[in-house]
Amino acid sequence: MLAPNRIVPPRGIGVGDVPVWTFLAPAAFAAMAAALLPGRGAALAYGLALCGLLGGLGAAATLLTGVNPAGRLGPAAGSWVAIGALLLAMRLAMGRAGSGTAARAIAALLLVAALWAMLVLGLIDDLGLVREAAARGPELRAALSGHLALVAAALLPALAIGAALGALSFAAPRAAPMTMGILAALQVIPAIALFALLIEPLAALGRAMPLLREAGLRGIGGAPAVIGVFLYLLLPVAAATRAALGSAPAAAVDAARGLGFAPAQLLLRVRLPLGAPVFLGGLRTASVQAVGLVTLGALVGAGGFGVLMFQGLGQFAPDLILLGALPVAALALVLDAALRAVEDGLVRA
Amino acid sequence: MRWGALLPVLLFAAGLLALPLLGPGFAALFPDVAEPLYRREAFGTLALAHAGLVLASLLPAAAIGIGLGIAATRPGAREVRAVADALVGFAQAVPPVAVITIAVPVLGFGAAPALLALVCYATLPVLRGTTGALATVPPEVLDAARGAGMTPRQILWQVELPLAATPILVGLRVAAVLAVATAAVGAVAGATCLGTPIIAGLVNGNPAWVLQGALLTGLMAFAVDGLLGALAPVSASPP
Repeated sequence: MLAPNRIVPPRGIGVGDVPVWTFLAPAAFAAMAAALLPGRGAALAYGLALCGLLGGLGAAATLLTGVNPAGRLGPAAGSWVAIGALLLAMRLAMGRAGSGTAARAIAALLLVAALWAMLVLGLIDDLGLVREAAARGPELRAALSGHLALVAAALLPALAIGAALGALSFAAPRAAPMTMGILAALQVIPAIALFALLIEPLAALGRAMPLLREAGLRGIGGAPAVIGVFLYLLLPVAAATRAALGSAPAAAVDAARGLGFAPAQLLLRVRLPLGAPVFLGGLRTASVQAVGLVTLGALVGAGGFGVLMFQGLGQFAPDLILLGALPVAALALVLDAALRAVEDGLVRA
Repeated sequence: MRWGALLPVLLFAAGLLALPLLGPGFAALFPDVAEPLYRREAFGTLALAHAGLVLASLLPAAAIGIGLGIAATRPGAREVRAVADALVGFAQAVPPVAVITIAVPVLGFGAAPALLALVCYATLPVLRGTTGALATVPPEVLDAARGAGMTPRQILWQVELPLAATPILVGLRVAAVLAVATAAVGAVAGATCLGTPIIAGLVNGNPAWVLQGALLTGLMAFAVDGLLGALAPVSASPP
């Protein structure tokens, strides 16, 4: 899709309209060859096809908007589907080759390195998204650090208190339905509403206690988002803690008791090691949720990628929307993959 | 059918009918707000649109989830299973708000981005419920069915699906409750739903509207949970 500047509705450009076959023909060839190649060769070929497709888009952008620095070229639906399909095909080819997490991480790093190289070589400089990113470097960096800070600020207390609540409901099963029920009921409140409803009480609290206000506890800003996300994360953490403590097989617990383990020893040497993967699963769910929920915090004045995303929605500037949304998706996927790798390692150990 | 499960449905209906009459109550609760009651659209219209979004996404999600779940558990379908696993991992990790906003440049403002995100998000619990349920059908039962001369199609329809029906319904229930809460986010991209008063309240600094939208969304989630719970009388575990 081509637009004379960043907010004018674009018009469609067909593949045949731009002579960029130097990139697209090899890309198509690589994709076809990938279908015949075995295992990792196929993954590599799909990766090359992806780079070729992006290079073709970049070359088209240079051809069409090189003379007009405000011009924007972005992939249309067809290109997006092709990009998604190639990524999926790569992932499947890796799976078929029986590659473990390490090999997958290397493949992802290779892909990132290839994109970086294309950026450095100036092959995709003129794509709308890259132009937008170049124009907003400082904002982008602020969004990244803001997003990570908000996620950490919500996740760390949620881990401590959620784990305590989970342990409590494991130790006192009669209190469990109520604790878990309250935490589950919180989940049906839409996130945007919870954040918005926290503004007023926090503002009142700030007015009543200027000291807290100085510390950053205001109605508008990071505070309602962090507290809201924290409340949502309690359920996955508490549920995982409870399940983790209960995941040791009864036979193992009996055997440990028979060996004369004290309750503290039983907890430290049997229940915690056996439950660790389950707990990590909950941590993974919670962190991925945190990345998504923090995005909505931008609506109540918290920072993060949501700021770019909602600015883009407000101006209907597609490149700006993607600049906010793609990093959020990438961050969630990377966190998910990294914690999954730790989990797999624990299970095998 | 347990009638107690229908209590949340009645509560939701009562909330929908009573809310327009509660203007003075909200005025007392939020004295600084000029217009304490959201009046741009009737709450009934918003609730209907919200339910429409949920239904319109749940039907394809159920079809895809159950279909893919059945396909992935057929013998010799390792490839399908790998595709399903990869898709599920991907769709689960990417937050709905990212899906909604990424879809806006391609699909435009309105209900379409919300529908796409809801389908992505609701397919997971159904797919997981289906594969999990079909995996728990005891192999002896399948052997017996095969021994009795049933074709694979007969085994699927007359043995596996009836045995797996309850966990599949549980997956649907989780998906439906998630969809009700997630649909509200669709208002960010201009979908008309119970999230609309929330966003309008946020933009205009009107907490009363936010509360009204949140109240009805929460009540609707409980109502859907109760309604599907009456059909599948097993408690849905939290996602």
